[in-house]
Amino acid sequence: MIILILRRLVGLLATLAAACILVFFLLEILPGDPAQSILGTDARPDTLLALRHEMGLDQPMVMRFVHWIGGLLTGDLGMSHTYHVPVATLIGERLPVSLPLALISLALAVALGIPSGILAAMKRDTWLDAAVRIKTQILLAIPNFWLAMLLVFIFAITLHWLPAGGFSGWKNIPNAISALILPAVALAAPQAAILARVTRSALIENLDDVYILAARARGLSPSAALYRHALPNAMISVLSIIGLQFSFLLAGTIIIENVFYLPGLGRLIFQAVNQRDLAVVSGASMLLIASTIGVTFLVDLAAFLIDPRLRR
Amino acid sequence: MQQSLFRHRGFWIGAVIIVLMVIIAGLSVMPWMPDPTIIRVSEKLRSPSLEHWLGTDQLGRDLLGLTMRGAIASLLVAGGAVMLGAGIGVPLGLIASAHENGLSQTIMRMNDFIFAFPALVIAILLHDTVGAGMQNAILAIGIFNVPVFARVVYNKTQSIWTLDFIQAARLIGRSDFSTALLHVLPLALGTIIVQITIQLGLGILAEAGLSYVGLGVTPPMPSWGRMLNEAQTLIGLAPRLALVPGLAIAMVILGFTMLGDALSEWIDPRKRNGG
Repeated sequence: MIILILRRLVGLLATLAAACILVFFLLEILPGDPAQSILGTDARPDTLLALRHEMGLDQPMVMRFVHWIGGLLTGDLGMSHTYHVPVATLIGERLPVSLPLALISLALAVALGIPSGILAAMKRDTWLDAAVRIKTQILLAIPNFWLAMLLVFIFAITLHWLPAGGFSGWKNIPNAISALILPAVALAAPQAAILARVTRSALIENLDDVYILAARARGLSPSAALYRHALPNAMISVLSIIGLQFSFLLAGTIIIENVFYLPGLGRLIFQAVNQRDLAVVSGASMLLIASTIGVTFLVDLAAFLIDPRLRR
Repeated sequence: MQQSLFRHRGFWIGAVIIVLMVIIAGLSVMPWMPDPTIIRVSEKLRSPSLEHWLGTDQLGRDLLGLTMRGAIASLLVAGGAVMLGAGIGVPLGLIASAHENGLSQTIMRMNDFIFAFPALVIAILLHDTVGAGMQNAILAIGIFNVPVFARVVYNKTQSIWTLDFIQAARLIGRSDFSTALLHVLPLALGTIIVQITIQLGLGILAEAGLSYVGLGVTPPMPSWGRMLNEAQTLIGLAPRLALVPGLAIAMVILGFTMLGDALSEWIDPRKRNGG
């Protein structure tokens, strides 16, 4: 058990290291000189040289890489040249928007998706199953940013129930939550559809297994067999999907944050790339990648704890 | 009985939607069709009429014509990304499944590694490296298709390699390459086709998203995602500008999803899971 976890941990660190190298070199091959793009094309050569020196751009690539990694490890992500504040501070300001948004939409997706998946599996091959299937197919086909626009049109512009966009911080909690409702619903809709499908197929796979037959032979009712035996087993694969979805929601909010003008992580990265603010891009990307890898690790760990078969 | 009817219905609805989309895309570039990219500001935001069946947009362009031609960008980008993804991913999956060794481990590790990357971040970075336009969109979406195809082919063919007749082919001295091509690949073809259908739908969704944030095909080529972006500020004034391209995207993706579901049931009736 301990050895297995340690092995996973080594894998996790190796993936993180590879991600660092990849992000660094991706930014390295970006065309254009960051110093030049800060100062503009009519900058004087000596100012340009001075800034290049200040940003460390005149050092060899290996040195810059070591410096960057050292910074990552100590929590120093560098300075943003557009905002003139440390990148870590910037990310710290944006997380209170992105993290709650991801959590609310994940909660919505779980609350809507898993019950309809269970329902479809229980009433398999009936009209209810077909209805759930059509519902999930439609939800998967609707781009979330289009859904977002429709929601804004209906609930903000026409009915005036909720704000159309913007976010003024958590000081006024009801306001903050009402600003996140529409984006969370738009983000959750396709994720709920995915969860419904995964729940249904995982449940059916388990319901068809012989151990359910054995449980039924022991006199368990169909619903008891489902809730006590099939569902916990099916939840293992559902759990790993939920983990993936969390990381996706954290990073995948770029478009939705643009629709609602939310000052989140996604918008930060999006604007930073356009402004050549490489420190911000690399810092925020590394955070997203690290959270994806970390969540995957935690989900694996949870699966180990839940499922004794995996421990062998 | 009822299920097979239902199954067929899904297949036919999906197939009809996709064939219609291809016909519409083809029709939109026929020489006798008026060019929808011509800007006539004097005719901006007209309501639907006999001349403009769906009205005009904020620059006086015909909404119906733009939407029809938008199908081309969607099809080309999604198709190109699938070709890129399957072209690299299928051979990788085959190689990885042929022998369980360091190479196959490395391939599948790298696969999982790509999954860990936020797709849109990569697209934005690529946008700056390769520049805007269709090739960037194809590359950005295609990269994420590679691990999908590799994983699917790997999972499917792993068990095929152990079948008796494959062992026999190896025993009589067939090379791994020709065994893979002649015997293993044909058995995995159904799975690959299903995945192609699914990835085409996802590719169209991704293209719309990229175009929406300005990373997709460049003007004047019409694109549903960009049309939605332009419609956003006008949604209170002319909701049809947002409704029409959005419906087009949703319909086409629905078509591919239904087709994919029907096909996957057809090649594997046990897996009537829809998962």
